[in-house]
This record gives sequence, C-alpha cells and structure tokens, in this order.
Amino acid sequence: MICWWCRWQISRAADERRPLAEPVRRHADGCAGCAAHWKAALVLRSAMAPLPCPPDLHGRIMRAVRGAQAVAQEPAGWRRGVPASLWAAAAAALLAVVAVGVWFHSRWPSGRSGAEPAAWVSGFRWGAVEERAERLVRAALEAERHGLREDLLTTGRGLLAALDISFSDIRPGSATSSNGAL
Amino acid sequence: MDALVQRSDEELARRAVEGCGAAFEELANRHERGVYGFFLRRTGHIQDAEDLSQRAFVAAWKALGRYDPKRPFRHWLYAIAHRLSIDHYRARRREEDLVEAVPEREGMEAWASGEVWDAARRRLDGAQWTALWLMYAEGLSVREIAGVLGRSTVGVKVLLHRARRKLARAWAAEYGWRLPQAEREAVS
Repeated sequence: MICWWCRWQISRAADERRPLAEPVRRHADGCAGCAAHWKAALVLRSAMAPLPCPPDLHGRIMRAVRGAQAVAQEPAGWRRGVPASLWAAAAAALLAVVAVGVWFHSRWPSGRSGAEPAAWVSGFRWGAVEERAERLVRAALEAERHGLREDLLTTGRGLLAALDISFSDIRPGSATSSNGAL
Repeated sequence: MDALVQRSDEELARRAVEGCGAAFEELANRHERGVYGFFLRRTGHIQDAEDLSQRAFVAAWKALGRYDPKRPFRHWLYAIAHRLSIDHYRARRREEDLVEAVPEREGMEAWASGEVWDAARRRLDGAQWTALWLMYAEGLSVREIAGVLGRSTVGVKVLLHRARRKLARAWAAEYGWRLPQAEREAVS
C-alpha cells in the first residue's frame, strides 16, 4: 500500500471516529511513518483532560458584557450629542471660510496692477502712499545726482589745477595741451 | 431561570436578541468553559485566555443581531473565538512578542493533555490547530468545523490531515515513536 494513501485513510478514520480498515492496519504495522501518523491521531484523541476553569470566570464575562450593554444603551447625550454638534460646528466653520474666500476672490479682479488693491481695500488710500513713495525716491535720486555732480566738478578742478590748465582752455575738438603734449 | 435552562441555545439566542439578559447569561454559562479552554490551549496563557473569553462573549453579544438561528449557536460562537484568536496572534506578531509562552500546567497531566496541545500550538497554524481542537475537544464533525471556519468539507479534511501529518513527523522525530501493537489494539 502507498504510504500517503494509507495516511489519508488513517486521517479519514480519525475524522469519522471509526476503527482502521484491516489493510490499513496491516500496512501501519510495518511502516514507522504511517504508525506515527496513527499515533498522532490517537494521542490527540486521548489528550482531552478537563481544563481547570478560573473560579470567577462567569462573573468576569458577565461584567464585561454588562459594561458593553451599558455603553451601548447610553442615551444620545454627551457621548453621541457632542460629536454630532462638533461636526455641525466644523461644517459651519468650513462653509464660512469657503464663503469668505469666494467673496474675496470675486472682489479681486484678474490681471492685478499697482492701483488695484486700493480699489478693494476700502478706506485705504493706496494712491497717496504711492505718490509719497515716488516723491521720496525722486528726492533721494536728485540729492544723489547733485552730490555726484559736485564731486565730479571738485575732482576735475583738482586735476586741471595739477596740470596747470583751466576749464577755459578746454575746447571741444582740441587734441593738444598748452605744452604740445597730449 | 429554570425555564431557560431547558431551552436550546438557538432559542436562548433569539430571546437574547429580544433583550433578555438572563438568556444570554445562560448561554455564557453553557459555553464559557469550552471557550475558555479553547483560548487557554490556543494561547498557553491563563490571563490571555480569560481576556479573550470575555472579549468573545462581548463580541457575541454585540453581534447577536446578525446571528442566524438556523445555524447552531455554538458553531457561531466558535467562529467568533477563532477570529479573535487570529487577531490576538496578529497583534502579538506586531508587538514582536514571539517568545514562546511557557505552558502553564497546573492541574493538567503533562503529556496526556496540556503538552499535546501546547506542542500542537507551536507547530500548527491557527486554522489547523482550531480544526483539531474543534474535532477532539468540542466533538464537532468535519461538516460542522467547515461551517465554523468558513471552508469546504474537503478543505477541512485536508486541513486535519496535514495537521496530523505535521504533528506525527515532529513527534516521531522528537520522541522516536514506536507504536506497540498492544496500544493500537487498545485504542482502536
């Protein structure tokens, strides 16, 4: 007999709680592997000593069940009402944020330019700020230009004095100096 | 209460669904020892077995509305217990708590009872172990085990066969089994 078939037959006999067929038994007598398979089934069947049970197991189980019952039967008060109201508040806040966003978006025209913010921020004179800034920048530039001109004139006069020539000697197109050198 | 004792599990479950707490208590009274034994052998820890037993009955109570009275209550309860044991082992794996539990043996015969199931637990996967337990400890048939585990009867036969084969190989190697003729004659 083939061993795998014999072991399957042993398992079937164990499942159905019936004795082994004679050919299977004969094979198992001479086959250590099939005998071990048979013994495993027998050991499992015999290993059913009663288990000690904790003394208050029933009480603990029923306390756990009653605890679950109590939680399930709680009225829709603070446990269930609060989350619902929180959800409602969160939804209202979200709606408000979206509405404000849409309102701002509609008030802000596309193609932004420098003067446009003054149009939607009421009460804020954007033009006055711009004019003042422009005046300040112009004044600074003018002061810088004036200072630069003075510096250039002073330096030029110094150089000319060092060369012993005056402004009046300089003429456009003149290529030579008074001493004939370049 | 006396009247409840005479009722079937399924009738008690129907009453429990209708809100009869005493009916559910009677159900717990009937099955708590078996469920606790299942978890004790499955986990090897008394504390885990107690916790899981409580959770099994709480889960059963919560799911009573979905219980089909045409199905035996005990099979339905063990299906819940089997799922809980799987969850328990998954959680233990997540916690990397893979240290083998030391079998707790007070009140048990070493080889004849506790050690067999502890050894089986170490070697078999959850479904194989549960199938063997339901067969030998609860006395369920292959068809009933198939109902509990949600498998076909052929699938359960294969499961049981492979479980026995795995144990036979391990035990034969470990203990050098020789099966005396007298023992075979006595048991079969």
